[in-house]
Amino acid sequence: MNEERTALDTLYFVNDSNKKVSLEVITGGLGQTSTFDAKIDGILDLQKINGNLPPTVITDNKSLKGKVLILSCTITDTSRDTNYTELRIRLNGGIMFLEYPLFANVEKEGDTVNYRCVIRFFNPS
Amino acid sequence: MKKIILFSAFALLSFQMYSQDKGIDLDVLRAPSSPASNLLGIATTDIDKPTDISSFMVSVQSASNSFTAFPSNYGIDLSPYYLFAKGSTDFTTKGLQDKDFKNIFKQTFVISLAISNPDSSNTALNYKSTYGGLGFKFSISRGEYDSITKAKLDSIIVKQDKINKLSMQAMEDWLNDNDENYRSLLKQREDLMKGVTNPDDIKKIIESDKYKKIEAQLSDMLANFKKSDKEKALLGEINAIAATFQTQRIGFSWDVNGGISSEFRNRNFENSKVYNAGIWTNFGYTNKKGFAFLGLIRYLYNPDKILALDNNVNTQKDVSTLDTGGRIAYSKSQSKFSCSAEAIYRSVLNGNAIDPSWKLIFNADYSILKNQKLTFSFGRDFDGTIHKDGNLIAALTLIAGFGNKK
Repeated sequence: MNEERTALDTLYFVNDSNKKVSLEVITGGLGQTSTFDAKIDGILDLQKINGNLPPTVITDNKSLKGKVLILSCTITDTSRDTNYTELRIRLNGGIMFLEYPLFANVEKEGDTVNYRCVIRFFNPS
Repeated sequence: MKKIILFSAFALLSFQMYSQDKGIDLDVLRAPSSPASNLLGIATTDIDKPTDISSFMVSVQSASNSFTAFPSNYGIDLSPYYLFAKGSTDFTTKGLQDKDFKNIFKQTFVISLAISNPDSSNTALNYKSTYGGLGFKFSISRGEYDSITKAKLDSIIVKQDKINKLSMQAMEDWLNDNDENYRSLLKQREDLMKGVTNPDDIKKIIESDKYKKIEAQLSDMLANFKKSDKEKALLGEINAIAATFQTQRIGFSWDVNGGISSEFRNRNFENSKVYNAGIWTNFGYTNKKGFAFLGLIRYLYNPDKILALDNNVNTQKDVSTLDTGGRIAYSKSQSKFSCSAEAIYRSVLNGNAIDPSWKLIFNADYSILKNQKLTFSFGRDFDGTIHKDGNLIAALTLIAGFGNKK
């Protein structure tokens, strides 16, 4: 994805296995300040996470079928070196590893970007 | 060695093009205080104060020529872990407060390259030659954010959390809204994927224009939520704190630096020699009032420049020197101005044909704009005899970064 984007509505592909799926959230750029919430009804409820989330097991493939991950991440330009902000969501353990990169440059020093993501766990079979 | 330095120069210049394509902001500026700049003597100070790094720093220096000539000194620093290993460590202000060495190393490790094309007014370097340096730097300890920095970050995080709560609620409302157009697009997307279970086939579809177009439409709907008055107010409050925010560290800091440089005689890359090589460490303590007390221990091999003997060619081959130095620096938290005074004593390790020498220098710098900094340096090199005059060092330097003024 080469264009600036702050919202994402996408799919993550799972199957009927018991294999665990993990979520990783990377925020930036260097020296920026970020906080996010993430939720999957009945499975995950992360609130006020500051910075990155290392790879974290959510649950197994079959339990995620039809579920929706919603994530809101707010990044403020606290770096005096760059106006670049980014959010990368990585999901692993489903049919394949996928990374969803989003980025935006703020116009003015100290501006804030709110990223919104909806990821539907879809079993294509 | 020259091949390594040349290769690095080309690699870094190629990377510059790559990074532009990837949208990495090149509008970054620091005084060229990288190890490679130190080796070539184009750094504004020899003893660095610990600062947070840039992901990719390009600096251009123009000095002592009324700013009329094209800049002759360039420095490029890059952070390999940030640029090439996303997720290996946290580079936000949260992660930059980590205290374990593994993360500190990844966050502070910098590879630097510097190139100097001295003009005829330069007494330290041969104006007929081009010089290239390759260096590295990392921190073992870097202190922690001061109380003002921490308080501002805490305040920003509380407000960000409120925005997230509003945004999460807006998304939940949207998902429950059953907008007809939205449902139709969701169905179209799922129809494209039905029965496709092979990862390669999935990849082909999600990279297809049709899939991307549907996904862009769905994503735009999320992006186009109207901002509430409450959210607008929170964004304004955050901006009031963040617009002038700067990190300031206090406590014990300890850096390790090293590198090697080459002189390309007659600016011919086939005719080169090692100019110098060295390894050194900076360490010190920064207090709450913004005063930093720093020390330097530096080993250099074959330095052509023996401080007070700047104007003379060092005729003794394979000289090794040991520098010890101290610096007092002052920069108030969240301020654009900083100043420092430093002294370095250089003793020659092999033989006593060259007397020890020392250098005193005063530095002040002010950030004019985001990508322009004015630095003033004033001092003297002295030889071992106190009454003998040394060489005057005086430079008003404009350092400009690439990119737009913001």
